[in-house]
Amino acid sequence: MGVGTFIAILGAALAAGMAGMGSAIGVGIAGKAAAGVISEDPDKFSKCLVMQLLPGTQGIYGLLVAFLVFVKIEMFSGIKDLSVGGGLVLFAACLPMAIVGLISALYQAKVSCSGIAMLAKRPEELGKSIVLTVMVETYAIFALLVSLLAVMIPSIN
Amino acid sequence: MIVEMKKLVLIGHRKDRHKLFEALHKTKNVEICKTRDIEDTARLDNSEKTEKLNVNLSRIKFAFDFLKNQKRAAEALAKKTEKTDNPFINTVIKVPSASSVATLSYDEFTEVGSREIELMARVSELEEIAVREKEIAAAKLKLLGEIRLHEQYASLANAYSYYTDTQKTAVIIGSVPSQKTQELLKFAEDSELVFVELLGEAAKEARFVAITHNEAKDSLTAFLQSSDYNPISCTEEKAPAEMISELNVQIEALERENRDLITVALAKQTFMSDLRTLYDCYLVRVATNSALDGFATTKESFVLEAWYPAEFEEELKETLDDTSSAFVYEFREPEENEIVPTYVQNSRIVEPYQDVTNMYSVPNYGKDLDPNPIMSFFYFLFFGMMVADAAYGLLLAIGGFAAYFIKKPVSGKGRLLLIVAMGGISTFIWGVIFGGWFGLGIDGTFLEKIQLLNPLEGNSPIIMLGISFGLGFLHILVGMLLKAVNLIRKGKVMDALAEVGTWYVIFAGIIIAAVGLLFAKDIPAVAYVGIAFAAIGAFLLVLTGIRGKKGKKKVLGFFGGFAKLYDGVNIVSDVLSYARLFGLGLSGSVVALVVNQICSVVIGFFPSNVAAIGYIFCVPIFLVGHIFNIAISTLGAYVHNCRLQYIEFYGKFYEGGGHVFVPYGTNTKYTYLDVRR
Repeated sequence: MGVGTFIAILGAALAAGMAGMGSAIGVGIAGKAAAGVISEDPDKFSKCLVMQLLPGTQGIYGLLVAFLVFVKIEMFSGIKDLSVGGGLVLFAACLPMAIVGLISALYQAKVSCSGIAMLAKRPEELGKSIVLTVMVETYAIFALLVSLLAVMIPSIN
Repeated sequence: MIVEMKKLVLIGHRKDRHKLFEALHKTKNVEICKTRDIEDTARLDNSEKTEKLNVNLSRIKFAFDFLKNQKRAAEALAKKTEKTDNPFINTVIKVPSASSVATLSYDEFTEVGSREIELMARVSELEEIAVREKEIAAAKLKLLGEIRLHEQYASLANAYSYYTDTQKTAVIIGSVPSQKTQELLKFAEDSELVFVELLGEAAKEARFVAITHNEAKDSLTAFLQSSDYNPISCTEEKAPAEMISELNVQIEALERENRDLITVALAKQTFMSDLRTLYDCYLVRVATNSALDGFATTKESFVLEAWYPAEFEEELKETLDDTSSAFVYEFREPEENEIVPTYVQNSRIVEPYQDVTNMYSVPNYGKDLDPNPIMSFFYFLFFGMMVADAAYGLLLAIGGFAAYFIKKPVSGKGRLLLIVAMGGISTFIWGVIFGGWFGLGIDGTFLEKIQLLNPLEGNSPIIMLGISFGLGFLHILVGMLLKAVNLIRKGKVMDALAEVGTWYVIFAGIIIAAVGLLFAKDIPAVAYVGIAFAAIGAFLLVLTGIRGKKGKKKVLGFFGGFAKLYDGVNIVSDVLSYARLFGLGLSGSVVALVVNQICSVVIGFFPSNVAAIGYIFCVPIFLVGHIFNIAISTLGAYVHNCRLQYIEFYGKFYEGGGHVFVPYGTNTKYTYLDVRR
């Protein structure tokens, strides 16, 4: 197994790992805020749960990028031996998702917390607090798109 | 369509006002607003009555919460005593679910309201039970504490009273902190007149009995006091064991009482649906009071102002004439500075989407066109692209419509279900186009033949992005067009041309140039025409800066016009934002692929002759994985679709800031009034 393959898998690991890390921290922060609100009013559980979930999508996006890298290097059917250049291309492709996934999840969690606090006072405004939170996610989706296209399009040997 | 509204101004005799409220309540089509200030009239003040109603509302709410918690307590108790010889039998009484809405006729509704005293008595009974249950819990806690105390002295065989002082000796029973035990024993050893026996240790306290000669009593108590000792103050003529069993009997009695209380409380669940109706009756009364507070009144008369849909005028006139002959009223058009409630009426297909708009902002009567018909089309279109799996679409559509028709929500409810169900149809269509079927390979099947585009093949990702941007650009163009339409409707044709027309010229130029460069390379003229168009448009846009300026300010206005070109950057970034259509669709299909891949790996673990076992293991993985993906994709599609409508579309033309038309008596929580019944 060559260095190229190693670099490609390192990229996939970073995409899944960093985005997942961001989501884990984000969902954790939002969960704490949600628990606070639920302790006052257990009926708000379902609304708070939706808010808590929102910073969790980055982890899924990271997983997607990692998975596509696995498909690209044919990991499920006898792994491809990549050149160092090929490995670096895949590594670079993973970076947008890894970096933006981590940071956007953290910031999204902050908005999500404020949204949960808003729900405590105005439970009827769930829609608005979701939309505010999702604004941050936009950039994670763009990063996902860039990473996916960069993984899929170049032909790698 | 935003329904045209008119205003009713009515003067009546005060004895007729409750008849009027009843009549208006039955119409469900009139929103009472605050009457303007009129000379020589006064406002009523019903805040005290409203206060009382609010107290009753919160009492009923308490009763609901209490019953819910009693139900849980009963279930727990039944489970706990299941295997004992005296099991608690939990008879389940069917109660309406928290979110269900009962449909009632007007007479049924008021009949419940007239039983107010009886129903509130049930609430007081529940309150008493709640108080008693709290007392029982506190008493039980106290008894348990005592039992724990006696248990520590359980090795005393005789009654507490047996250990009393004699003529020459004194007895002390109590406890000292564990670390002092050694000192205590040493003290007893050193002094010949003291005998100490340890009874055992618990919670870092050692229990002891000390017998001392009277001569040594003072030194012993002095020593004990310096060692933080706790004497026991029981002088009962019973041994600890007897005390414990006696206390246990008391606890049992309390528990029995508690059981009975739970049963009594749960029996009150039969009043639940009536109490819910009563709750709504109170809500209507609160609305009545606030309407009354808004009236301009004299000693014998009152003036009411209310909004109603213009088409309802004939019917309203009839209703008013039937109600009393002493009403004087007029119908008039809304005046310029009046805030008119917005009543949006649409076909049954568009109606659910009104909630999406209202979540952003309610259309402004007079200022806005109803954006719902056009928004709903784009919402439908984009929803499917963001989930993009035909099988998921089928499941969403079937599940959504089934849930809707099983639940049969009253009018105005369950709209989210319909949005998701219709989104399912859109998802199905896009899924067929992109060939997404649970993310499974469809090569060689007829599904491949109807697939128009494989998003992951060759350069089709670029085409997919192009489709996303194209649809986004169309969305934005329509948004700008709506702005122009709205301006023209208000007679501001020049504004429409300046703010929208110029941009359309620029866009037309860019499109012509793009077509020329891409498809008609041999005819360079096409591209030049396009560029010329764009340049003319841009120049016109800059020129619009001069409008409405005078003299030297025209020059400043001209330069200010250049700033408007900057809006082009915003439009480009808005279009790029539609990349999420492709991004979310892609992420959904890749998650589906991941699930399937995991399944095939699991199947691969089993040798081919027992592959069937592998398939059995796969079923839960497949189900859980895809259900998770459907849930997360649908949530994503819903919220990102909302965002595209709110920011990219409504940002172009929509003002909002109106308030929804809420007819008098319709703001209820648990009931829906069906006046035709």
